[in-house]
Amino acid sequence: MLADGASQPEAPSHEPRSALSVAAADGPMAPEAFTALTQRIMAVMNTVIDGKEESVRLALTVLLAGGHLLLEDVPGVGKTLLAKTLARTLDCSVNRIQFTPDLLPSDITGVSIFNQSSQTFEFRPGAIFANIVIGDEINRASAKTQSALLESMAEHQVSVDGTTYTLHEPFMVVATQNPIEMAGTYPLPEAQRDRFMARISMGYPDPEAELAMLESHQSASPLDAVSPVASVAQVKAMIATVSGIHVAPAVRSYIVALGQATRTSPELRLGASPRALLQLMRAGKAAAALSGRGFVLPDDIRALAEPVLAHRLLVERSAASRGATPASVVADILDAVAVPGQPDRRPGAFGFGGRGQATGAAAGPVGSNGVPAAAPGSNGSGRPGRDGRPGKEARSN
Amino acid sequence: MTGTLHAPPAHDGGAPAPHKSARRLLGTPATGPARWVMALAIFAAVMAASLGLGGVVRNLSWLVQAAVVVGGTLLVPALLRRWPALSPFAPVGALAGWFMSLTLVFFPGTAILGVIPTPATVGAALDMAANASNVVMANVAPVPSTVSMHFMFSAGLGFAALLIDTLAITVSMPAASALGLILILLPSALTTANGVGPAAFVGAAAGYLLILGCARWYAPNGKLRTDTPKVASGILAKGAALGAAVVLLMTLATQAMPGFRDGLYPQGSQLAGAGEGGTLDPMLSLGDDLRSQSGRITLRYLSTARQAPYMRMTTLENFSGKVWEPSPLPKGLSQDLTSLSPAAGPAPDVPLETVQTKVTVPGVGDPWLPAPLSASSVDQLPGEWWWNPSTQTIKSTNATTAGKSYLVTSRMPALTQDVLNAATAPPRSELDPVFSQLPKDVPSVVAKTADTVTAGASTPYEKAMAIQDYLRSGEFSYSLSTPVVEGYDGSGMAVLADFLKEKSGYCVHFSAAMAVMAREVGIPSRIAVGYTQGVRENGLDVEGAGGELWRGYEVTGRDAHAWPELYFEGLGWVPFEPTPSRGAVPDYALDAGATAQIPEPNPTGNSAAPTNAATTAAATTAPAAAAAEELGVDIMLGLKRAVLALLVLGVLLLPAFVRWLARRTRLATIRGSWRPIGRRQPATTPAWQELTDTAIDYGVPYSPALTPAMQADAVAAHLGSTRPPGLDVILLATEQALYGGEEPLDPGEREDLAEAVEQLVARFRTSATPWRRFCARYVPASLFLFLRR
Repeated sequence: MLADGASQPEAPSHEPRSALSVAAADGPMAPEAFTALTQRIMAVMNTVIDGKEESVRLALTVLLAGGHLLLEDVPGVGKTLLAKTLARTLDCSVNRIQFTPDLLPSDITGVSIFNQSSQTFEFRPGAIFANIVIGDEINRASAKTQSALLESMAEHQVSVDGTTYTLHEPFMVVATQNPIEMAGTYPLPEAQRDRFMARISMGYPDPEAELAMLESHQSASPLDAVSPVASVAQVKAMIATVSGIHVAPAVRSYIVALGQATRTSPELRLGASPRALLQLMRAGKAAAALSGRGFVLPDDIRALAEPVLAHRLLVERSAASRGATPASVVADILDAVAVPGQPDRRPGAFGFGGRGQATGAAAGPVGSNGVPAAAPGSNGSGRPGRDGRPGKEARSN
Repeated sequence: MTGTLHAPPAHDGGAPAPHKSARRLLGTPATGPARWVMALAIFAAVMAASLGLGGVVRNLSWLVQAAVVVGGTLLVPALLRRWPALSPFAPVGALAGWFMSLTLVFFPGTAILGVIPTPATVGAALDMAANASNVVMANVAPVPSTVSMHFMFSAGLGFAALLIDTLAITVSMPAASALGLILILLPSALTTANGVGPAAFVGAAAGYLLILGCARWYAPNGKLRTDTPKVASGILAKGAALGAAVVLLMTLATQAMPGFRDGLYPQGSQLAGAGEGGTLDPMLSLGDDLRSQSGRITLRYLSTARQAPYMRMTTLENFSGKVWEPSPLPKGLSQDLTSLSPAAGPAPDVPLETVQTKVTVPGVGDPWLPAPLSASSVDQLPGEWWWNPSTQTIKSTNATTAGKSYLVTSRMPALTQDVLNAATAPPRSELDPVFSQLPKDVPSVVAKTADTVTAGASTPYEKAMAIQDYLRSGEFSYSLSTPVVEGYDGSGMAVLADFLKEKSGYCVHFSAAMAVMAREVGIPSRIAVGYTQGVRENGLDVEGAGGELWRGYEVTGRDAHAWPELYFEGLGWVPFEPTPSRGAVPDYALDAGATAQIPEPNPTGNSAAPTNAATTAAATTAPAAAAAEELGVDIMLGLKRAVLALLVLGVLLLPAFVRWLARRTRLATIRGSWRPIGRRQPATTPAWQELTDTAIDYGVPYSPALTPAMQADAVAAHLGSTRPPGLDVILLATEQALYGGEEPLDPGEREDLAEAVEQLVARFRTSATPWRRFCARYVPASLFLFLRR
């Protein structure tokens, strides 16, 4: 079961990061082992969280895509439980931060303390130094504290007193928040929301699931019975597998077409950023891998479009007054954008060949829009692609 | 920068040139195969347009020679364009090619090496052209298929090819190449009653589109475009479809529009060449003239005769050869028209009746002068006119009757049955033997019929009457259209045999039959061509100086006529009227039992009340004629309708055919037995294209925004109950091909895929209602999607 060369969870390294040091890249996992392992993870998680298979699957998708997850819903629907379950199934370090208005940035990143005996400043790592960081009720902290999380999420590193410390790999922030209408909250700024790969609204369970929940949770929490099923090395190998998933030009042009549509939609004040499209593609690769497929389908992109895009979009006030929500706008866009590869049979495209969507030409500006360089190791961008050439998404234009 | 999302290669702008392999095969890298394709396109256009000349000449034997000339004319410039520096001189090359190929085909003997013209070649060509010009002047369409006509056609087509080549490539005005094609279509449009005909029209239009389509390879400077035209491959297909639709529509519209091709003004389908007037050509194009039912006034005349005579123009007496033609003018004719005497006229003791006729020709004229038989003098006629006493015709070599007004005095013997019966003497020896000769190829049926008919007759007159009675009997019917045999128009012995078998025809056949049968029984004969007396117009009547009444008549194109004239020794030439329902039978030629009344021809307007005989004659002959005409018209109309129905049916079946063809093509593509041409990288797989098209045909909602998997779910939901296994085979193969970037399928998988598609199509068919099935087959929605919204 264990991949070759699997190592036990590393102790948190507090060493200053050396230039260009990349986390050890384990080889990708065999497809069969990948499928078996992911199914076991999901099975274990589903014993704790009743009736939320989709949310569980999405959380795992985000983990394998190397992204961060934002769980948003009213209190008490199991946001924190999902985060904790995901952490427990993986044999890796977990830290939990309860965000409060008086939480300081140094509580997250760590602080240098003067050691009397050695007469030096010693770095005491903060809660961020773990494989999985559960940020509970993230919108209750002040903007300053929230922004302390920013650097670490985007770049997988922390800078304290001019020294940069590398975070653990894999690294994933699972943040929960209550809807911003609730009292005593600071809404997440757009920049920070953009750093989360996906947002899940858990929603209430259906009556059967709720009955089962009352049954299973009446004495002890089933969470206690969960034992880890995957090691850190295995997770790394799974992430490597995901990065080798093939994304056809047609699927890429579909993603770009969706992004263009959000930017030109009259109902939106803010469309999807290039980073959003990049994360959509990575999430799509993870979803394809979870389905046991070696390539991404437009179906993966469609299924992920709402969780990945909706929380980044700002709806025009006029449209919002008519009842439009980011989710509804995304649904409309999905219904309008032609899938490349499907024969285009709209007026003006007659003939029995049908030509594909011409939106592929829009790929040009994306690269020059300043997509931030992917953090080293955040996914397999430096690894060879499946055909021996550099991964396609790593090719610069 | 990472994360650049590349456009799929299908949409890359200037990807590989579409004709790479063909280019390597055919041409230099600088010019490519374009010059050959273009030359072929022009060749095809010219030859297709030349199909229209089929109506101008009698057969298509010239087509091969013309093809060689056109090909030669196009070959030389195409060769020259291999070197871009020489391409401005391509027209010169085309000219050389034109000369050389004409030389090769028509005058190889006079030329060096068979192709290089010498002065002798030029002389021969000029002779040939003069000859052709004579043929053209002497004939109307269809002209006989002679070598000189072949030369004319070949030269003309070669010149058109030269013109098109220069316009389309050197001058880079491909749209103007229509000029050359119109030049080709003009002769038939101007000279034949049927116009250009659908084949040539469609051919010329298709050729024109072909030229336009191929011309986009050339830059405005006449050189080949260096950059591959950045036109999506669909443009050509769309253009061709649009052009074909327009051509088809025009063809159908002219067929379907009532009165466009027939009716009172059938000129819609042709260019009106003759203007007002319209002439009767001596050649027996009478059929065309009569069928055209032209109501144009050909001539007006005033006559002092009680029974107006027919207006003769020319005669046919030489019955040998495939085509009967007027004899050439003999030498030594007189231009003096004051005291005319026939070569074989009546004996001096026969009383003569003098008739004066004042003829006015309003419009376009003719070199033959319309005049009554036995003209003795013609006055007030300017120009050089020659009197031929042998045939009693008057012809000009340099003038026509157009706009002329002249006075003819004729002196006709007073003929009665008794006088004619008495004329039993054999023809005098001075009579030109051409009037009695019969060629060797007279069908035996003619002689047999003549013998049978004249069995009981003893005198020449009785024999002539027997023949006339036989032809006017109920056995024969007058019809302009039956039998519609190619070449039935006109004269000739073969036609005569046909006529005696079919027993249906028009004046040409009746008169020829009587003339030939008369010679068979020993009576000299000739066929006179001209007009019947026409329509009586009282409004034109004038009172002469001597108190006599000049009766006015109007003659139109539909009065064109041919009738036999028989020679009786001592009486001269006597006209007969074997054609039923046409003209008027002279009283001496009426049956002995019939009253010798004079029928007033076709009284109209405020004329005096017609005599009883005229009424009776009209009453008896008219219904038969009408029935005969109606029958002919019915058959023609039926044929036209059948053709129209076939065309409509073809158009209606066109979508089904296109859809069927698309399905076969895609299945063949899946199986790998067919490689689609033109499309650089298909947007989708043929299997998926076929599946979605079939789904659309059967009413499954389709949206390009759905992923293949969702579309497959929609198909499965439509088919109900169980999900067909073939569906997932197609879906997986499609996803693999479109998004998986996998290697191409191996033959076994291809076969499975093709079978899955076929099964699914069958499944759609079985699960649909009959109406839906019908719609899916004959009105496939997938073909008409572009019409929606």
